[in-house]
Amino acid sequence: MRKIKILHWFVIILIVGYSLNFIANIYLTFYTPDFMNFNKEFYNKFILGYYTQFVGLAFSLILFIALFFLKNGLKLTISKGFFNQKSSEKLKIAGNLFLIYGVLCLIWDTILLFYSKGELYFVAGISSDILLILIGFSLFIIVDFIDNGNILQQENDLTI
Amino acid sequence: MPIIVNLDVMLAKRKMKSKELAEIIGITTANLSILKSGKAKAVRFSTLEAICEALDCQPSDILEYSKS
Repeated sequence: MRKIKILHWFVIILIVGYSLNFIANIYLTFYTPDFMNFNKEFYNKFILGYYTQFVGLAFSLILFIALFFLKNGLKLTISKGFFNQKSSEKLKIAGNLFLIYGVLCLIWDTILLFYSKGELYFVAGISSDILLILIGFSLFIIVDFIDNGNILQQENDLTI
Repeated sequence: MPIIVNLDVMLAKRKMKSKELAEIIGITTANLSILKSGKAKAVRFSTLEAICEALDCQPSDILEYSKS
């Protein structure tokens, strides 16, 4: 349980960091005109030009929500024990969101990679997308373990 | 479930209360109630042995199989 508590706090720190990053991005994009003020040729590398950056920002909202569900799932595990239905539901939603985010970003980064004719920056993005898909699948497997454990615990509780 | 628990019948025959039996065999009244109502998924041999000893009966007096 101690490891889950550490992970819970780590996710909280991630959420705070992510929020700050999100706010800073919005501030820099909309309130500092000199920032990201590149010439038009630079933006020609991207499929939607200047607006390409906002697609990633919109996708990151999915990850933000996924982190919230992960945090809630871990909190329920800490308060109610390993095998409970509620934490399994939260973790399943988090897994789904991680998977959706990973797949969306993978498709988007692949499009950007082909459009930019092989800029190295997008290759790095693809590897992190695959990692997120793996995290999503891992959460699904953990949810399966929890559900099976739940059934076993119920049977054990009903063995007199 | 096709397994019927006749603990109520045996308790009535021995004129014993559920609370008394629970105390003798060392389980909670809540668990005994689960057993009596047929909601239990399984019965440990040790529990069955304790019940049989307390009620002076055979396992067949408590458990019955019925095709449903």
